[in-house]
Amino acid sequence: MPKSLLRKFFAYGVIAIALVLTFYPVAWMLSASLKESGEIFTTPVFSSGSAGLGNYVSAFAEYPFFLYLLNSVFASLVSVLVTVLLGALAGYSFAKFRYGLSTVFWIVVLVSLMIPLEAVVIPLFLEVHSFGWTNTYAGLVLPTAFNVVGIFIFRQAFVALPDDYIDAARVDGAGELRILFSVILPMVLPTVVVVSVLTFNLNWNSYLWPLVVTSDDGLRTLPLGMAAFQAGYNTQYGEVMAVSVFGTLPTAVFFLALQRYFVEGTISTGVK
Amino acid sequence: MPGVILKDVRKSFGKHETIHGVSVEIGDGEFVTLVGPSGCGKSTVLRMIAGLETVTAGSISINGKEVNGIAPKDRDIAMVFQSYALYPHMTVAENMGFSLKMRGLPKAEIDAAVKKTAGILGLEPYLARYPKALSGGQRQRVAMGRAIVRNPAVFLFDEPLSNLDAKLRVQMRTEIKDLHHRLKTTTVYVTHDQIEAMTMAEKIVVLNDGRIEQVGTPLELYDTPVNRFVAGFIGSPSMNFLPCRRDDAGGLTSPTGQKLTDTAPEGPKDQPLILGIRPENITLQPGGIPCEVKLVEPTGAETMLSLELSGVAVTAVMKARVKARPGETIHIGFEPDSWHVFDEDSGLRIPTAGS
Repeated sequence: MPKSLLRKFFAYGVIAIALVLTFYPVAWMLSASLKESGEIFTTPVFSSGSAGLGNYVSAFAEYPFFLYLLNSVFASLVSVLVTVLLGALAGYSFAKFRYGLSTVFWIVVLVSLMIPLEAVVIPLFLEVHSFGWTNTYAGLVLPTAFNVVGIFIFRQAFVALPDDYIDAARVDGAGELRILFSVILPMVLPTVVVVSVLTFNLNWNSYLWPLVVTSDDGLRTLPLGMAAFQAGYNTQYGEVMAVSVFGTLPTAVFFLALQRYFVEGTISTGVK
Repeated sequence: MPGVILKDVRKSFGKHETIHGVSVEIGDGEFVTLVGPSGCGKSTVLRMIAGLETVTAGSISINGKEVNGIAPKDRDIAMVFQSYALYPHMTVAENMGFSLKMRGLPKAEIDAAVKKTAGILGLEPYLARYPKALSGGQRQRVAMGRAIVRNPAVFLFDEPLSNLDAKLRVQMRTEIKDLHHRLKTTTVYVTHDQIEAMTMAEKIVVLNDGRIEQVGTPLELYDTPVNRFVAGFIGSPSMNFLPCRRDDAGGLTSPTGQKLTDTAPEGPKDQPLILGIRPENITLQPGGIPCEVKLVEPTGAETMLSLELSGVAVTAVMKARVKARPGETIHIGFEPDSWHVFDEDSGLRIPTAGS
């Protein structure tokens, strides 16, 4: 076999394995969502079930999933907005300005990247509780809205931008905020997309914080709603899968719409 | 009234001083180039005039007003960058109108100003295009348009032609000069290319290592360089330097005993000197100074010879065609009054009878 053909064969082989690993669970989820709970583990994965859309109907009858969806979308979008705004501001500062403690602040940012939510969830809860924010949208959204990774990714993107653009804008009469939002942010749109997608996803899947800070049914997000089907002795897999499909769709749509920029952005920023 | 005045301007980065007291007056409407080798501080001086770098000590004034603490946008200057720095997400028209928009001018006024400037530069067909759809020369022109449209008191150019190919560079050189004739705006132009400096400027400031070596018209620098650095930097190919001393006959002789000139400036006999002679002032002269030919490079209009004179490499440019071959010996002479003598230690030029 010629070398180039062998290389192609190998490359496509790797891609095929990755595809199977990625899509098999999704296919399993789709197929299971259309089966009765009893059929899921007794029939082959790619066989048709007898439930039809029954799991979807019963899941939505049992819990207000549209409300959960709205809560999730709201929390995730606020998080995206906050992260892009603050991340760009802080990233610009770290990338293009040197001042007394900038290195110290930068180390603080890097260190805080390494602290998982689980480590700070109790003090954070106590603080939020002292604000009277438990069981409120503010408590659900704001404490975890800002994704520190945003600062890091924006800084890397801005560092790569030549200073000439900023100097030119200064000579042209733009202030620093105007330079950031009218001149350099539009130049790093793929980075904005990367930060948005990562942040949206992180918040969309967030389980622990909403669980801790809300007990009101009207404030639940999708991951909490899904968990409601997993009772101690009896998990209703058909319905769990139905709401999982429902919960995966928005992120899939969000990602596919921005996919081109996302790939461009991850390549140019060198981060994921 | 003078356009730009620099008084003992200094710049330090941390403890390290890079500009050691630069003073120069640039007259209103004058075209001045700052020239020097890379790292000599010419761009830093320009950026200080623009307000993009702070001034550590000394003062800069534009049109009679000290601007040390004033933001770039309030200095009434426009700058053209080496990279052009055109905003990639804005069209040519938006790029050119950005500064006017920042000033809060009404849209109709901005459009009119952009259109007028585009007319001057021949950019009308490209106003709706994005920078990525333009050639290098067109981008260069847009960058200039962006500066002109504001009608500033001073234009600052930071090596604007170094990203262009040789042919386009010559063309843009003419265009910039022509534009200056029409607009009569004070211009400070930074370049490392001494040909660019010579051909464009009314006045040249030669910088080296954060200090001014000499200020003068192009021909002043060429004919009477104050020191060896300026002599070697201005002119292409650069001046040849031959170590020598005064001899008993009142001329100059090389360390190997080769007689170089019949006259010499007055001074002590043991003073180590350097004879400077430009390649274009060397002629073929039967019975003159013998040299070994190393390389012959005919370009058609002239012939460039690489020679060895008393162990020193010497370049000569001959108008006439030379039929010498490498390894042969030829005899050369210097055109009268064309050579310079420098003190070897200080590098300063010692005036001779002719200059």
